[in-house]
Amino acid sequence: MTIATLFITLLGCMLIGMPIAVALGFSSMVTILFFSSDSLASVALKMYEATSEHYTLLAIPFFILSSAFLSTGGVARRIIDFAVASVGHIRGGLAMASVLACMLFAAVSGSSPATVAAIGSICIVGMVRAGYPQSFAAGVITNAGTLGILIPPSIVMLVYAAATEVSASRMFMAGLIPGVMMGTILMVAIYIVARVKNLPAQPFPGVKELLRSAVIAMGGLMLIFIVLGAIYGGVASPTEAAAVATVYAYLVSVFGYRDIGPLKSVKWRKHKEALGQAVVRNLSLMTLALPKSFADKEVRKVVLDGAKVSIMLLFIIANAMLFAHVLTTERIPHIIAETIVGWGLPAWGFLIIMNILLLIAGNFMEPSAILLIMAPILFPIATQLGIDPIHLGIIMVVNMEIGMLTPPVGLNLFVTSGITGRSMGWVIKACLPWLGLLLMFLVLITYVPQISLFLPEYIDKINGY
Amino acid sequence: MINLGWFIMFSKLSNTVEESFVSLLLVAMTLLVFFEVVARFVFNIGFEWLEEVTLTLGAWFVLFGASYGVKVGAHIGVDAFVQSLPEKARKLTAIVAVLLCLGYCSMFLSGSWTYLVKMYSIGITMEDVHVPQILVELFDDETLWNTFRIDSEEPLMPLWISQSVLVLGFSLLFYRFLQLLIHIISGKADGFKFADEAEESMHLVQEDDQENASLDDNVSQQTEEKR
Repeated sequence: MTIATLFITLLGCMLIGMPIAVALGFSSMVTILFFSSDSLASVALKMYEATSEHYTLLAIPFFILSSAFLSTGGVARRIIDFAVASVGHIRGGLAMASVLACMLFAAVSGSSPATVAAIGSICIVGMVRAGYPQSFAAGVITNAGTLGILIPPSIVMLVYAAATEVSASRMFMAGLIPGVMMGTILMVAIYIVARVKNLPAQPFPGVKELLRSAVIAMGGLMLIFIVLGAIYGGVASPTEAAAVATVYAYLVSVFGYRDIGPLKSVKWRKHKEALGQAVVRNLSLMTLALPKSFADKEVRKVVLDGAKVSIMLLFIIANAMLFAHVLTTERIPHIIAETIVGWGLPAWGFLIIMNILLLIAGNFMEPSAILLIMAPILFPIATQLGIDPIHLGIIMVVNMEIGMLTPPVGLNLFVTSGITGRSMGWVIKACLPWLGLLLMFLVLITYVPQISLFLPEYIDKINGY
Repeated sequence: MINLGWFIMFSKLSNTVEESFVSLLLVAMTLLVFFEVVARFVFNIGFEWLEEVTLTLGAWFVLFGASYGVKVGAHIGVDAFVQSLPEKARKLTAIVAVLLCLGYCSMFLSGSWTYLVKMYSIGITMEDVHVPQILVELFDDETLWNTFRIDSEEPLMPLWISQSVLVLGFSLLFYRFLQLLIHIISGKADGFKFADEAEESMHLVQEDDQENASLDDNVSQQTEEKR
């Protein structure tokens, strides 16, 4: 009865279009009022605790803000230049470079649709000009863009960590190998197709150009090294790494790349300017720009945009914690787990059902919302069946990737359709072969836990646990 | 007419205040954690109160910001079903949905109020955060305890102040939903405006148009060279 009330209220509320956060909180509140002796005051306290007692959760607004600073067209272009210089000369190289650029930009921005928009708008046109079929180009980018939530640092992983109280650091370790692997699989597939279809290659631009583009792109890419280095090395928690990354992203975008803010389009070194003069000019300008940037319109807009997304996510998380609280006090996952174990369902069977369930849910909801609702239910069942929590998290994230490619809520599809000006149907058709690859990858990730677990266990061994 | 002018000015002002406050909270949290890291790694010192302050700012950020999110349509929801309804039914469901949201706020408001009153009457404080000395010295010991629940011997910040955002946040949220309800009934709004991540990413596309051209030239040039 309790289970029914909770889920029917939740589904009903979401169906009539209430914000997901309020739907979660409202259904939990109603269930508590009817079936438990908790007072409204204690629920209010729970709400306050949910927003103020989880230090790890603060990593979410920080990463969102840092990606807001670095998700500009300028950063994307620099990363693409570097990617084209490094792998463009292989057959099908421009497509491979796009995948590489997607992987790198995804790691910096942590958002899939943003990756498709920033990389796709440059690369799809570029590939078509170079003689690739447009559907090929669109399919590759739309798929590679989903890597954004798998390659750490990833906001979806932080949400999973928040929902299940698994270590966010370990999730970040676990995501790296699967992310790189999926990227490599895509590139190998591109190479094979390029051989068969005889797609063009770019000339190698020379070592000097490669190094030059690498140095320029490094300004943004350093963020990945700072974050992952600090977390893998065990020096800092994800929250601390994220705060440092945010300050770094602000410095790079406002003072380094100068894409936004008071120094916009001020050159590092003017034509024929003496080095000493340039240093003095830049230093004085930058000292002035530091206080100015707080009043700068563009900088403020970036911060406000970051704040909006963060508030939306954190408010859902706070309400989802209330929801999870009701689930645990009513022992709902426990009851479901016992039923499933009672059926004699083996772990692999449960994983199949879970994957299907998540793929269906992925068609209708945003990744973070699905994780927050499903993870507290699936997590205890999986633990009882002996599935590693970290492995479970990676499976769920890969599922969410696929959800971004399936209608009606496939975010990446909308973006690609917007870039190319083609219909949704055309984009879906273009993505299908690559989606098949992603599904095979999901099977691989699901049944070979070592892919996800190797790195966290290896790092544990180094640190001597 | 004068009244209307005042009203517009007030709503502009409150908008700026709201946006600045939300941004300020986010930036303050980031910088606090950043300085904590710098203090620990470079100067090898730690501050006990930093974590508690940061977390409290986090709570204020979310609970205060939730209403701002409703105003600017930052929240997400499932609108596939609602969109498929005929117009009249859609308006009706939207009204029901907003009424339920108002119910949600009222439940939290009444719970928060009871809770805060209890906190005030007992006078529980935060663990590590002190009230600034200047403020303490403004009042005599008796007023401090009787009015603010601050102990003059150890002036820790009372919880009823730090947690007052519960009442503030849910009141504002109630206000925004009420506003939305009026707009829906009067036909000014269709329903909740939900954030669309795909649409928001599209601004990245337009920015690139110029740069696109340069890469295109580059690529076509290189391809031609090869031929």
